[in-house]
Amino acid sequence: MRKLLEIGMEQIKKLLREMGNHALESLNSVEESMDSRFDSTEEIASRLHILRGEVLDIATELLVRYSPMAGDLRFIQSAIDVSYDLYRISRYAMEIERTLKITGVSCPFESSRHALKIVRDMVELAVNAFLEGDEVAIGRLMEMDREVDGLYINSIELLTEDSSPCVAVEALIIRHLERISDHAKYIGEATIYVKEGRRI
Amino acid sequence: MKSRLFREIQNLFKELGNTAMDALCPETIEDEVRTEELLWKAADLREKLNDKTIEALIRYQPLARDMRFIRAVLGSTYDTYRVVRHASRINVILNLSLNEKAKHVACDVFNLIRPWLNHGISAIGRDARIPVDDLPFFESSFEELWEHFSKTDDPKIMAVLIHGEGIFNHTKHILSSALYYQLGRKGLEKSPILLIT
Repeated sequence: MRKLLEIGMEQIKKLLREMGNHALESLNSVEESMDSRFDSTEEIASRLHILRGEVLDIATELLVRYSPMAGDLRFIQSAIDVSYDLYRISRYAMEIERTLKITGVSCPFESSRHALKIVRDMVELAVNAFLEGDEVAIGRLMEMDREVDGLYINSIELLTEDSSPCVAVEALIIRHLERISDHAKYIGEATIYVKEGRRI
Repeated sequence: MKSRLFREIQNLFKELGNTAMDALCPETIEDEVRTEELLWKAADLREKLNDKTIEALIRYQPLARDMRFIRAVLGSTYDTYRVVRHASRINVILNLSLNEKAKHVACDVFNLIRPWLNHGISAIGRDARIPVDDLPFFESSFEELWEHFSKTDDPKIMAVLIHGEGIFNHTKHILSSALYYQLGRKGLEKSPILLIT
């Protein structure tokens, strides 16, 4: 029985790894869209929606069949949440690409690029931390999240002084990146929940 | 015991659904305090529903229709919460500064989506039937609305439309969860329009 539960949990991990890779792919597309090279992040988001359904299927089956307890139960519960976080990340990436497409502005987006680099590292770190049970990474994630929050606040403050299209679009992009950073942080928090059973 | 827990889940889901319906009420579209309260309520109900559905799966190992009910609730809880969140973002946009046109667009979006959201929630919460044959009209009406307003230069209207599209997509997910609950995977495959978002 235990072996079968473990096989199911490994399947979930494999799916989450795949979802993590797709989420990173969508963030790479965001960088390209800042240079007016638009890719289809929409397709990636749809793929993640399907993969999330698969995670839910396996998770419900494991819950029903094996009535897991303690760490196993917390892992399955958290995997459902993490799959949602990764799907949301791809949706935000899609929104950024769409914003750039609709507004059609061509700007340097220095702050956005900086924030994007941080959130990309955050997503990678968060997914690895969750899958490998590395709760130490949460400290680093919190630090990076604060950095992104700072960039977001700066972009809003700048908007009150200068409301040119470049500044406005940059604020919009960083707003989405700030949400992505929050989701990466939630994944990190889930790692603590799985390992120690406490919510932070 | 089992039926009590399932009834509790059904009632919680109805409450969450009603919260989403309230959030999409055109009459109170600009009420900031109310929207904020609805968002917190939806977040709280979502957490409760997540815990209850997992409890139901572990305790009672539901099968067939019961299992589909739990899966439908598990899936659409998140979509219903997102509907409320999008509505709250629209409220923030409308409260930034007075813009009658953006308000008008938001009301149109809410009026178009509300009946379908109600169909989805009633199907899961009260076993009501979904008018499957009318689904293409829902899709085309939203497309028309999008086409009509999306040629705007006003960023507020565009922002409202983008959130409106989010609500539309989540409503479709709720409808597909409801259809899955009532007719199973095969029934859902007969309405491919719900599988595309």
